[in-house]
Amino acid sequence: MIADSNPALGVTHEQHTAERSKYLACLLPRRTHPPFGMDCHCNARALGALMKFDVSSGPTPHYRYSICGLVVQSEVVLASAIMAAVEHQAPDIIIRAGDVPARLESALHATEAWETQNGLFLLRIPGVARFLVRQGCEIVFDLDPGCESRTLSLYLLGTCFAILLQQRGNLVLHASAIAGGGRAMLFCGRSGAGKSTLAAMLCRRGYALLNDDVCNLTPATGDSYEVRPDGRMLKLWSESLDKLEWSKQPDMAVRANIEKYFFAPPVSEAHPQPVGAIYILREASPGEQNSICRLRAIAGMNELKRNAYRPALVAAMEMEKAYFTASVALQRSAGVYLLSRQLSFGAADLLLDLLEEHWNTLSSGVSIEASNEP
Amino acid sequence: MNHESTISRSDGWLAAPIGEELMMMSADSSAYLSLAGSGGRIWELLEKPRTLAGLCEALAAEYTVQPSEIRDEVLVFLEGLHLQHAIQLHPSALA
Repeated sequence: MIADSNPALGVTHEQHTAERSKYLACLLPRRTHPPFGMDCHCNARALGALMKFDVSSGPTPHYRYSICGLVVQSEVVLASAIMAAVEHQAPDIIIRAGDVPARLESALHATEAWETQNGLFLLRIPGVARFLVRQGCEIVFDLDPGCESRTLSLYLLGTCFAILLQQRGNLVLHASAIAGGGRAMLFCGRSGAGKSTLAAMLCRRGYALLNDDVCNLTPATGDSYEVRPDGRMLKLWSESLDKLEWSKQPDMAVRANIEKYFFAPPVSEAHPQPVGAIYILREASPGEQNSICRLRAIAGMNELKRNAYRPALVAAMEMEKAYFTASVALQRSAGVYLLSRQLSFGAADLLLDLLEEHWNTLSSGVSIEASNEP
Repeated sequence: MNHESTISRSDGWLAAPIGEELMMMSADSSAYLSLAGSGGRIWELLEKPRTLAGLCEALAAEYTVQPSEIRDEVLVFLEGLHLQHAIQLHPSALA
């Protein structure tokens, strides 16, 4: 998806079109034979756009975003990130095209997909790009022929950004979060567990979205951690959008051939929120009531470990100690809860009522368990 | 393990309390362990290497029991820790 030009951000339609052409040009297959052959089928969208707009030579485009409290300057549009008016702030993070070596010279950890070496992380995704994430402040990408812009964007904002946040000493959980009563409420679970859908349902009830899918936790005072808004849209399955009665736009498809769409939340939180509770999502058995129960400390430790955004990255970056310390602190300052719930949309209101009831008990410190009455 | 065996913590373990429990992580980061109640207290007492007899005496004093009453339980617990490679045993020269 290519972001629309936004006069409020000082980008005219003409400027944006020229920048977009250049961007698309860099996404085209870099081959010596004519790029219009049959083997370029996967780039039809980019080609169509290229034929409409002339490639102009001009300064490299820059798009600015505010992600997890960081000013990000990117040469490419980051699909799903919401453009921010941070033009006059110095960037914390640079995302740019460049040469990325196939290997690191003296890698400490190396697998087929990645290598690490003192503040450097090399990620190889065949058919997409090689990425070099450097010292928590730069992501360089070296595109493979035929990579689609949306796919590039997914890796930049997903795995690469998670690596970058970990290089900066953050914890990154596979979670979606909303702001409830001045605190961050996190929903963890494997892909398809319903994290984004639950966050979306809470947004429809008026809560502000903090994060989707990639949830950063930054140490605050004492044992507490805060979640910084990631400034991006929700990623939702077509079916969820239909049931939420939110209309999907074809140009907001997450990537080709997948029924998942980006959707801008009605309300986004702009400020960091201290972690209030971390919920591990579980589907209730047929006939079982929705319930919330606090996990025993050791179970909470294991769930936090399992719900790292990419558990293998924690080991690759030697962050196990940091995750242990943070997991202990999070259980002292917030708490890890098992949220068992029926998945039917029809019963969603009951589930949201239960969550609100739980948040009330959290602030009063009365109870750590709750369930819907039979 | 006999009465005069010296027990010491293995290097590299992390430990931190959550409420009444002590959370631990192995040196190779492969496993989390939870010690409850007197188990956590034994780990704390092992901050300095101690003999089995010395450990039982210190613990018995805190719980106001006789060392002989807790010796078997302490042994079972220590064997568990040893299986997890969390402690090292140094047999006494006299054993």
